[in-house]
Amino acid sequence: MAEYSDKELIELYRNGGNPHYAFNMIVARYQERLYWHIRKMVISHDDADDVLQNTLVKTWHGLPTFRSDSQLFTWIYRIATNEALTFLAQKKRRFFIPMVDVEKKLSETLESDPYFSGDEIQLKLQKAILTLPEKQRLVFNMKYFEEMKYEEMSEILGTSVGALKASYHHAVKKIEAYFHEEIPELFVNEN
Amino acid sequence: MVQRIEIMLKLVAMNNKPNWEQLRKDNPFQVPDHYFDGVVSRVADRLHQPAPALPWYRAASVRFKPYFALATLFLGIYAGIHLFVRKDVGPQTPGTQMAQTEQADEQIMDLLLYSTDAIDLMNYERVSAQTASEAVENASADDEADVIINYLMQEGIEVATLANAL
Repeated sequence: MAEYSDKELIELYRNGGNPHYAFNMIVARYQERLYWHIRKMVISHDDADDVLQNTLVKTWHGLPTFRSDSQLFTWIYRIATNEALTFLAQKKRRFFIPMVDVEKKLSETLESDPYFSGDEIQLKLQKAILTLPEKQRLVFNMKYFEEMKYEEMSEILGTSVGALKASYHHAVKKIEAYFHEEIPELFVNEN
Repeated sequence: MVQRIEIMLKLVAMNNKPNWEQLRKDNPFQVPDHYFDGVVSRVADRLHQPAPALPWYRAASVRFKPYFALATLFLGIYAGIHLFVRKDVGPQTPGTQMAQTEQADEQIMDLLLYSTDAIDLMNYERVSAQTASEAVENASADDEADVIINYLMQEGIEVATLANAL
């Protein structure tokens, strides 16, 4: 398979005579990154699969009006982020889950998820991340796990770099506080 | 920041002995086997499917939404009128004036019946009848004057001429 750039793929989609072929190549290129981005937000595999498919369907419908002045991946990532946040909001509304119980519910999902193979520490880290508000969780995941640049994150989330840095700083503080509370013996030497 | 988290995780790892060096890189989440092989075809299938039909209650909700909105608007206006517009400050028609007069008369009659003797009551009725007849006489006198003025106007006699003659 020929290796096309994003711009070439968009060109192929628009004028190549076979938009499905071009779209399939876009999906194949970005599906994994998108999936993991979504999965870390919605936790369950089944939910992540639904959100990923919705994201890709919306990408297909949005491609004819996509402006080439922004990066293709940034644009699809933004769709995925919005879809994940919308999904979580709908879930809260559908099951009448109060905000404080969302973290608990997602933690339970994590523990019972057959597709989570993390050890105790991984589980603790994920649970600590789940205590963060959704937007902060998003920022933390993108910076810590996906190692994204703040500029790139800013473009995806539509937030200033300064605000993102502050958000990440708060997230780290909260995770530290969580570990302080959960495993206080680890911090005995600090005091 | 990243380092702080990693140091913290190292501390946690000291008790549990996991491979903490790979903690950030390792992904604890998994997917079913060959999951990513099928994403393209599943999305392609979805793109070829017609849009799913709405359940009847959703379809009904969408269809009747404007009517509900209109009905709510009218109800709101109706309730607003009843709440904020007082009935007793509206313009008074002759009908309402008459009804109020009748009501006042009834109250006076009740008062006279229960707190006065028969002579007072007779006096009140006499005075009332006299007042009513005077009102009728005044009204008829006014009517007569109107008839005369109309007649003179028809005959072409100016009011000023008539006034001079008198």
